[in-house]
This record gives sequence, C-alpha cells and structure tokens, in this order.
Amino acid sequence: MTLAEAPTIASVSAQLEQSPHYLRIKKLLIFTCTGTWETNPDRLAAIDLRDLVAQTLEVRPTMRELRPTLENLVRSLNKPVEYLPVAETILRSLAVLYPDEDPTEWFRTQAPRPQTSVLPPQEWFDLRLELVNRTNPLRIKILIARTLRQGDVTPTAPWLTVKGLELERLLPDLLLSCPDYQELCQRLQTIAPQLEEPEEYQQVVGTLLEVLEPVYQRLHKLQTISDAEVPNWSPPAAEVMPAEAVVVGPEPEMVASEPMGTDPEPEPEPPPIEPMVVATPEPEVARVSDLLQRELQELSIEAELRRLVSTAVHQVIGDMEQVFRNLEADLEAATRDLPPTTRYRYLKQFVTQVQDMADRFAQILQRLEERGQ
Amino acid sequence: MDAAELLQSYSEGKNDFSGEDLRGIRLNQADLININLSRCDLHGAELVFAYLSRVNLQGAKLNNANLSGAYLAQANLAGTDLNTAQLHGSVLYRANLSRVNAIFANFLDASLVEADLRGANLSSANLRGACLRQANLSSPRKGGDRVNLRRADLQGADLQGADLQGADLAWADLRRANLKGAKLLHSNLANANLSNAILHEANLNDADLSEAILNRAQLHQAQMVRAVLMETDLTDARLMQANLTEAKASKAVFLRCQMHEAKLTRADLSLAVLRQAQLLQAVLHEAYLTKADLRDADLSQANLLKADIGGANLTGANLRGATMPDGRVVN
Repeated sequence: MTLAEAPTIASVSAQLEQSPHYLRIKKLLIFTCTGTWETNPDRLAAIDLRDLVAQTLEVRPTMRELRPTLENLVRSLNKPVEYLPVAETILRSLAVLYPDEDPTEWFRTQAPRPQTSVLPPQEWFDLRLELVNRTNPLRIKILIARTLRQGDVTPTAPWLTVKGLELERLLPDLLLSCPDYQELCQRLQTIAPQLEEPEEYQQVVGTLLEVLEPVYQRLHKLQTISDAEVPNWSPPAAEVMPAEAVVVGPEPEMVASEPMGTDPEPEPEPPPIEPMVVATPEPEVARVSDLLQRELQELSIEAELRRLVSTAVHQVIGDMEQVFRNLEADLEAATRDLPPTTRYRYLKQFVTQVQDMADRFAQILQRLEERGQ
Repeated sequence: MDAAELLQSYSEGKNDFSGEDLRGIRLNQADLININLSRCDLHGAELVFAYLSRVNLQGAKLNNANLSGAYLAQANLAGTDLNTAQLHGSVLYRANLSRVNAIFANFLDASLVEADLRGANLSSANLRGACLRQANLSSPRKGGDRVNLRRADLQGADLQGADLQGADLAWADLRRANLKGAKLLHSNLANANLSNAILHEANLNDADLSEAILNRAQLHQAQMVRAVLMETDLTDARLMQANLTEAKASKAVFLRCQMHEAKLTRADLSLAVLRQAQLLQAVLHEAYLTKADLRDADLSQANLLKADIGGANLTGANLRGATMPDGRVVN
C-alpha cells in the first residue's frame, strides 16, 4: 500500500457515510465519545462524522478498548440485533486506523462472533450444507454481500467482490440485518434482478428463502419467549463521562417497530447504594462547594459500581445462555430415544442447581455484610 | 486453440480436446459438460462459473487457473496440478481430486461434499469454510501418499463424517471446524489449532495432538485411545464420556475441562494441569498422575484405583465418593 492509499480518518469517514446505517453509526460513536445517546435528528446531522472518528481514536486508543465499549453498548440497547452489524461495521472500518493492530489478524482472533450465537454452531453447518448442496456457494455469497452492501463493488468481476468474505459470517449477518422474514424476501428479491445473470440469482434467492424460512420461524418463537421472560437491562453508564451526563434513552424508531411492545421508558433508577467512600473528618462548617464536590464524587462512584455490576451480569447471562444451549444439545443427543420431558427435567435440574448456588452466594454475602455493620 | 474455436468445435459435437494447449483461455460461464480436457495445459485459464460437471481433467495443468464458482460436480481431476488455483465457491461434489497438487490453492467456501481427495497435497491451501462432509482424505497405513494438509487453513470448514485417517494436519488451522464423527485415527495434528472445533464422537485413536490447541473444543464421546496429547492445551474443552485410555498426556493442560465419566485408564497425566477440571465419575484406573495439578478439581465418585498420584497436588479437590489408589472410598 502506498502512502497515498493509506487509510485516513477522512477516507474511513467517507466510507462510513456510504453505509445504509449511517445514522446508527453516528449514534454509537457519539455514545462512545460522549456517553450521550443522541436521537435528535438536527443535532445528529450537525455532528461531523470525521470529528467523531477522530474523537473515538482519542477516547479509545486501541481496538481492545473500543470493542468492549461497543459490545456493551449494543447489548444494553432495546434492539441489539439491529445494532450488532452496525458495531461490526464500525470495528471493521476503524481497525485500519489503529496502527498497532493488524486488522485482518484482529478480526480473525479477537473479533467477537456474537452473531453466530443466534443458532448453535452445529446448525450453522447444517444450514450451509443445505445451501451449498442446492445452489452455487459463490453466487450465494455475491447475493448476500450485495444485499448487505459488503465487499468491494467491481461490476466487471462480481466474484472478486466477495474474495475476502466468508459465508460463515455472511449468513449470520444476513439474518441479523433482516429481522423478519418478509424483509428478507423483499431485500433479496430486489437485489437479484440487479445482478449479472439475474435468472441464476433468482434460483439462489428461492433456495435461500426456502432454507431460511424455518430458521426465522424458530427465531421468532425464541424471540417471543425471550421478550416475555427476560427483563430489559439498563444500559451501562459511559466510562468517559460523569454519571450525571449520561443520557441513555430509548430509540423511538426501534420501539415503534418492536412487536412485543418493549417498555420505551428507561429502567427506573435502582435505589442509591451506599457510597464506598473512606470517611473523612467532617469540617465544622461544611462549604457548599465541598458538599457538591463530594456528592459528585459519590454519584460517580455509584455509577461506576453499577456499571461494574451490570457488565458482570451481562457476562454471566451470556455465558449461561451458551452453557444452557450446549447442555440442551448434549442432552438432546443423549436422550434421543427418550421423551423430551426427560431432557426438560435435567435442564430444570441444571437451572435449580445454579439457582441454589446463587442463593448460597447471596447468603454468604448477607452474612459478611451483617458482620461488617 | 482459442476460446471461440473450442466452443465452436464443442457445439459441433466434438468432445475430446485432450492434450491441447489452452493456456490462459477464457471460458467464463461456458457450458462444457462432459468435455474431455485431460492432460490439457490450462495454466492461468479463466473458467469462472463454467459448467464443467463430469468433465475429464485428469492430469491437466490448472495451476494459477481461476475456477471460482465453477460447477465441477463428479468431475475427474485426478492428478491435476492445481497449485495456486482459485476454486473459491466452486462445486466439487463427488469430484475425484485424488493425488492433486493444490499447494496454496484457494477453496474458500467450496463444496467438496463426498469428494475423493486421497493422496492430495493441500499444504497451505485455503479451505476456510469449505464443505467436506463425508469427503475421503484417508491415507493408507503403509505405503502410498499421505494427504498433506500441513498449515492448511480450515477455519470453519465442515468435515463432519470425513475420513482423515492418517492425514497430515500438522500446524493446520481448524478453529471452529466441524469434525463431528470424523475419522482422524493415526492423523498428525501436532501444533494444529482446534479451538472451538466440534469433535463430538470423532475418532482420534492413535492421533498425534502434541502441542495442539484445543481451547473450548467439544470432544463429547470422542475416541482418543493412545492419542498423544503431550503439552496439548485443552483449556475449557468438553470431554464428557471421552475415551482417553492409555493417552499420552504428559504436561497437557486440562484447565477447567469438563471430563465427566471420561475414561482415562492407564493414561499418562504426569505434570498435567487438571486444575478445576470436572472429573465426576471419571475412570482414572491405573492412571499416571505424578506431579499433576489437580487443585480444585472435582473428582467425586471418580475411580483412582491403582493410580499413581505421587506428588500430585490435590488441594481443594472434591474427592467425595472417589475410590482412592488403595481401594479406599472417600466419604
């Protein structure tokens, strides 16, 4: 790569501006830089993306810092599924601006692959097998890449556009970018006639839709269960701003399309916890500025503690979901010839035991807390 | 012969073009089903999206050729030179690729379902995401060429049920690969990376996995009898009901491994790290655990009869209901 071709903040910003998720990119970057969730269209339009990219590099000087920030933020939103590919786009694009990182290697080894958790790994393999058995793998990739506007656009050689892309990633990205089956149909059917040899791609569209329809049905069922049972997590507070400056709100555009009617209001604030501040001798006459200073300090500590707890809870829930999925798969394999109630009984046993363990921890902590008082 | 001449002759019914000099020929999207191109020189040819089902390419030179997206189902490519060829997203279902030379060839996301790859040289090839279900990559125990997959990129590849007996996979990248039920006995997986790979019910008997990385690999019910696991990293791997009888696992790392009901009879686990490993009901009969690190391991109801635990660190280990080397059962 010559110096002239080296990626710059301007070139990366220009590339991001071409994204169909331009506004969402801005929202995520604004939050990363300022801790504010900006929804006002006028204010969003007024902020220059180049400034945001430059500021992001300052507040998150390495990819290893940027990645968890974006990941945690996405998890905390009402619609993480829609924002996950947006965060991926940001990480992918900005990777080239971090001089100490090899972006290719970073994505190979460090990049989160959360999208694959939509289905267990074995099912992705079965899905891919069904697709490649029924249609041309390269055409599937070209079609999906064009639908997702990924890859380079070189109309003279469409296969070159997907040279650096993997079906392993494209398929989950497609599912995540099309939250419902109707949207998937509409988007694929719009793209196919625009490609060279459209009749070939019509066949690919037909196959993709047939193979993915049952997946959407299953995901829809899971989503329904999850919406009904899992409470909405409050978003983590930003690390770069004092707690009182953090304005994390719902997203009207997403809430409006939420089928289960998620609560558009932010989570009610939990009762304030005791600040862990070392006691200092009280001045005989407290000055207002001192009190204000201390209050700010306490608020900041409180926000930090809440953030730590929230992050840990996210991690545990994520891990637990994975363990649960693995266990279910194992039980399914082990009880193939038995009624499903056997499997459910053991899954329940797992949950009960975990619950017991959590109760024991809570009891120990309760005792420690009482002793400390 | 140029592309126009060939297509004209083919449309007139000529089928046999064997031995022709077709270097750099451009036949993208051409329909050439059943054509005989054996021993042709197709160096640098462009055959993108070409229909080449059942084509005879035996002994042809296809090095540096571009066959991306080509339909090569049931084609005969035995002994072809595919070095550095592009086969990205191609369809090679049930194709004969035996003895091909495909060093640095690109098979990214290609379909190689049930393909015959015996004796193939695929070292450093890109097989990322390729589908190789039920493919035959086996090598004869004595004599004959061993399938060479050294340093091949097989990340996310689907090798479920594939026959890889005796294959050389040293230093191969098999992260996230699906090897469920694959036959890997006598294979060489030394220094390979199998992190997050699916290996349920795989047969790894007598395989060499020394210094390989198997972090979070899923080895439920895998057969690993006499497997060499010297200094292998199995951190967070899942080995429930796996059979590691007589495995040579000295200095292996089984940190936080789930090994419920695993069979480790006469396994050499000297200096192995089994810290926080879940060994509930595991069979460690006559196992060699000298200086093994078993701190905080769960050995409840495990069978350690006649095991050598000299110098092993069992601090914090759960031994409830375990049968100790002397036959005593811990209450």
